[in-house]
Amino acid sequence: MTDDLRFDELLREDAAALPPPSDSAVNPWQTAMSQILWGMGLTTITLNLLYLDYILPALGAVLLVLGFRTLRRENAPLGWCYRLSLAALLLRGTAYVLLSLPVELDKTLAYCTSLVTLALYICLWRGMVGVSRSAGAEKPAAPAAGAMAVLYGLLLPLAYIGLEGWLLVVPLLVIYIVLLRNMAKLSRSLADTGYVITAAPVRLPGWAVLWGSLGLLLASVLLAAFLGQRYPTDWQARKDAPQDETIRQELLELGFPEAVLNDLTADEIAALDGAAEVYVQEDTKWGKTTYREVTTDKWYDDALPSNWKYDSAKKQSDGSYLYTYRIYDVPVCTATHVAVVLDEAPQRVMFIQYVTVNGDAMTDFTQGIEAWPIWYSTPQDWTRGGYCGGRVLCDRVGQPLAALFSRLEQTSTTTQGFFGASTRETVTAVWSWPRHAANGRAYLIFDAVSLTDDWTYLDGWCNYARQLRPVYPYQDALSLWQSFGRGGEVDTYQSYIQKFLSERAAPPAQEDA
Amino acid sequence: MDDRQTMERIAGGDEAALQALLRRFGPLIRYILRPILTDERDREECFADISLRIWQNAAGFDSEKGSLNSWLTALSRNAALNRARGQRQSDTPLEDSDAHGHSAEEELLRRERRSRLRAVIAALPVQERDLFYRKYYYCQSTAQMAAELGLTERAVEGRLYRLRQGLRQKLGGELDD
Repeated sequence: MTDDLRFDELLREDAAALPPPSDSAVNPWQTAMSQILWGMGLTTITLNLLYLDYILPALGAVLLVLGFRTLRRENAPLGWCYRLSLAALLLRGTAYVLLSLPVELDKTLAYCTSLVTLALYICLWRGMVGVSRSAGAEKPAAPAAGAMAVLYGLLLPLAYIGLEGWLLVVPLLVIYIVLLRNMAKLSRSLADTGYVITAAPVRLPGWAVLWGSLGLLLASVLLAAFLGQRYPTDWQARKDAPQDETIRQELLELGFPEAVLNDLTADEIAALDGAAEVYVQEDTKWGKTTYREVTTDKWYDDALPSNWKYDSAKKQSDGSYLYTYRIYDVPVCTATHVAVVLDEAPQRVMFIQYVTVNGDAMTDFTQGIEAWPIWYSTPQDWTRGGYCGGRVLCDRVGQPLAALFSRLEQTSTTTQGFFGASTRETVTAVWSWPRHAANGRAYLIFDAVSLTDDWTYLDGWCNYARQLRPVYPYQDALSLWQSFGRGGEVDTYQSYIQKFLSERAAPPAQEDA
Repeated sequence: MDDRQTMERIAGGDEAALQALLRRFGPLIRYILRPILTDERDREECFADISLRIWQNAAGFDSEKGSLNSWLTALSRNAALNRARGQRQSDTPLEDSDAHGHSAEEELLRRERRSRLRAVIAALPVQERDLFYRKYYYCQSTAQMAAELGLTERAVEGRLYRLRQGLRQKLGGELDD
């Protein structure tokens, strides 16, 4: 007998003198059932903070797999439970990955998961009855498991109908408490019969399955978020038809910015035919975090430039002060607003909102422009015309590229506020830059028709938003901008054109005279 | 009906109470017998022995000293080990039978050794203690432990090796006499 065997033999003999282990120390059913019950609880509970509404159900789904893995060979229904728990985990994982991508998730996946879960509950009930029968029960039954399946079955149609509100929440809360109570009763009632099962062997340790599944899921979600949070934008080498030289020349003479003009398509130039007046307003936006410091004896008071920020003052020996300012002069984007008044009646004005983006500021994620046209602020005087277009351009490795927006739409959103309903009519465009691109440009071109003969005011706002980093669940730049408290994930730059009648240029005829 | 009442009724000669108890705890008893007695017929005979001992010793059960589950566990284990050693005198507990053939000095040393082991096991972390019980109390195979713990057999062997090393260290040479 080897030394180890002799040691084992002595331990085995002396173990008789030890107090018997706790009741559940070796019950093969106990660990598996604990995992299953925790799994059921965690996949049902949602705590909407710190991503717990995703982490806990994912953990629960893996625990269900682990629990049923042990019991899978006990009887056929428990074998099905194992397969269904794997399917539920796969469905949940797929949903989690899709949630990090810019795809519309309809409810099919959620319904599939619910049906799989219902089937799992039914199989669990039948499996429990089977275990009870194997244990020699006079009347094999597992009423708690059956009740759970019924309760879940009742919840499904409610979820399908989409009922909300306290009238549903209160009964649901009661049902949930009953569910938890049933689960605890189930565990207790089967503890004594649980010794009858034979745990199925495993090829991977439980911890490896748990952390491996969660790690794989996390890696998939991160990969999808970092690589996939982009709008599909069909970038092509720029090949524009030649612009109409006559119209182009007329526009330049009216003061149309040449850089903007160069990026318009031939069709858009043609839409500007008949221009009578051109108004331009340009606004450069600076980076919000990068700055340099300047110390001067000059106190700017109210005349501080918009991209300067007062930092500190230091008193000199002669009693004078030196002031330190932070200058935010790293350009991120420049918005050029162009309003082209056409010689038409009723009066029609073409608006171009043109944004150039510095190469360093061209993030890989989603970008968006929400334009608030003139009919947004003065709906009594202006209405939308029939023209709406635009595109995005950039350079990559010296190659000019162009693409249509991934989505360009005129939207009308009605919101119910404290003072009643209000409707916002906007133009939105979204896209993503190609990787490693520079000299990004994006523009919207649309027209507005005056409802009055003597208009006195032109107005238009441009909100450019760029997503700075991936977010989970996915939201694009514009929705992040509109969400509360997402400042670290999106940068937004707002600019506008505002021109009053008094600023109108003299009609060309008078100039000729 | 709680455990104490059940045992009182069995002690009073209530056969229905014994049947109910065996129905309830039958899976536990068979679970304990399975790794120790590999032969199906041996297990059935041992089960019958245990039923008889419950019937005979029900009055000796004291619910204040421990749970019925623990009482039955100790009873079943000892009966199974006795049978496994070819000792058919199922009415002689293992501990008592082990005492035969030892001198008073040896017996004293053995008591001290067991006392020391009890203290060491009580101080083990829960997982290691459970593993110890599975290996040395329930005499489970590595395959059974692996399946029930959701581990590979190799992982169980590794844990057992570390457990054994730890016990050797903590118990010193006390078990190597």
